[in-house]
Amino acid sequence: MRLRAGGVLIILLVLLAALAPLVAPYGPNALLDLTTLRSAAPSVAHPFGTDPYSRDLLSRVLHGARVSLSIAALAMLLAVTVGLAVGMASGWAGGLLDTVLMRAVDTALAIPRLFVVLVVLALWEHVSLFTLALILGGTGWFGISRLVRAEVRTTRALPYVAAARASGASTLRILVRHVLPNITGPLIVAAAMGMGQVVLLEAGLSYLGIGVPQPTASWGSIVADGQAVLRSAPWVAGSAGCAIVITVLAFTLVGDGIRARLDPRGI
Amino acid sequence: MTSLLDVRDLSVTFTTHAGPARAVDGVSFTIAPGETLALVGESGCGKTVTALALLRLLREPPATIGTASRVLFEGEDLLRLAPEPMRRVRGAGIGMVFQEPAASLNPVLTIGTHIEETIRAHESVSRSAARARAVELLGTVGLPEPASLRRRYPHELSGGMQQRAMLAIALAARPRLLIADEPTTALDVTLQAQILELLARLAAEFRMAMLLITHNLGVAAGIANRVAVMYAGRIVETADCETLFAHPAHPYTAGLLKAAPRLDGPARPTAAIPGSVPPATAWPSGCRFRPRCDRAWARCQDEPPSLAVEPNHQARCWLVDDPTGGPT
Repeated sequence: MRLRAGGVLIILLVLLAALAPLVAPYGPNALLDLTTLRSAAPSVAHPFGTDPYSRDLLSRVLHGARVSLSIAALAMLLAVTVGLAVGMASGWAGGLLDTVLMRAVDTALAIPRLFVVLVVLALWEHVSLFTLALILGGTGWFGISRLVRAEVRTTRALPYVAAARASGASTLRILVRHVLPNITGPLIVAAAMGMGQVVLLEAGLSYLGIGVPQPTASWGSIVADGQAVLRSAPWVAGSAGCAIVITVLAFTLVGDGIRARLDPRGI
Repeated sequence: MTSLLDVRDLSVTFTTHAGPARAVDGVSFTIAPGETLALVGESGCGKTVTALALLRLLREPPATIGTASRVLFEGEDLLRLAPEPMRRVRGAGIGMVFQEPAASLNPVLTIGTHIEETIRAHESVSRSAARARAVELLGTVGLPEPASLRRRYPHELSGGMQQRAMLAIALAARPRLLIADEPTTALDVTLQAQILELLARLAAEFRMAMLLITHNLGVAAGIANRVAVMYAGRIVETADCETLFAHPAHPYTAGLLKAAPRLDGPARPTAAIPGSVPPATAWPSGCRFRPRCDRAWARCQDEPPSLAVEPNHQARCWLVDDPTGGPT
């Protein structure tokens, strides 16, 4: 149930984001009428209303979905890849390498992620969307690597892994054939949950004005636009805010649903 | 006769919280091509650790292999082999069958995949050629309908069939030596004889030497040419099969023989050896069997060396030196 509801929502969101140029009635940055259409309330012509610069909010939210979702997807892809590699190396090799890697991860986990991202972002005067995704992904793999390491350590002690080694399977072969399938489930759950987090983080950064640069529409920057007019025109911040909530909810539902499916004791 | 496997002074120590555990302590033996050696002893004597050390399957640490140890396989010291040549020895030089077939097969891979991956790990053959060989091997180990069995998952097979499949995997890359670690222990008594018979037939058919690890002297008697009895990390007696059963020189061997139920001949009560194997962190001083031996005497406070009873029959017991010795 959770899985299906979340899945449908995500498919819908991705479709709308992909087809934004076709679906959206206006361009994301089109200034429609600076004299009469500033912060106009929702109407038939503008279902979500307009922002203080007279841009159509529905169009901006749809185009913002493209930016927010693709940054989140790229960041999670990077986080999963790095987390998988580090976790596997650490869990399989054990010994000194394991100690060094895991203590480094402990240290990284002890510092709030937002703080790390802020410090790294301060190095650039202007970040491209790609760089932003890399930074978000680069700070998102610590937890995943710990998860992978724990699974690898459990799996490597299994008799069938010893049997595979005894029959001459290479380490890479064993990792791909015997260890990876055991990790896939928990990894997908972590990735789904992580997607929601990255969407939130990206929105937070863009709201602070150091994430996605203006005037590019992203959900965070739309919320920032709406801040000044929160009382008189709550639909500006509200439209993007709802999009963020729905997205995070959808990913959490999917993650939770898969977790329940994988847990034999689950209900 | 040159030997296929020549193990010299093999020692394995595990670092544990209770101190170093010398699980295998100066074990030496040889196996000639085509010969079957049975390594016999109670649980905790170091039989399996010996086998795992030969294939370098122990994690180091916690295991440490003695610096003086040598494992010469076809003249090459496996303990000093680089990872890639060592990988090629595993499977193609020395194959191994484990005790628990159900746990030794990956539940999410088909029987065929197990065999084909082993073949392709050692030979560059096409998928279809590997598939054909897998079907052939499944037939060789006596499994019915090999073509459809290839596509089955381990849980669809019975215990006996799983062990046969394990054998097919072990034979896939045509090893010269097969290590069988308690191959029948997890099986029904009725299946044990079948699997042993199969092992003996395959060893002959593939002209393969075998190291058979078992706690059951009856199993050893069935197919071994020679027997090595292991106790507390050491080999305490070696002899060819007939000699060992007719004239055991070490009280431990004699005790094992008395403890084994006999199927042939008149029924007689079995006699257990009192006590159990001490932990590897605390081997007794002197002769390690002394605390459990009913013939222990003053001389046993010094550990006996390996003494020759007659050519090709050695025992680590002072009684070999002085058959009249014993408690007074």
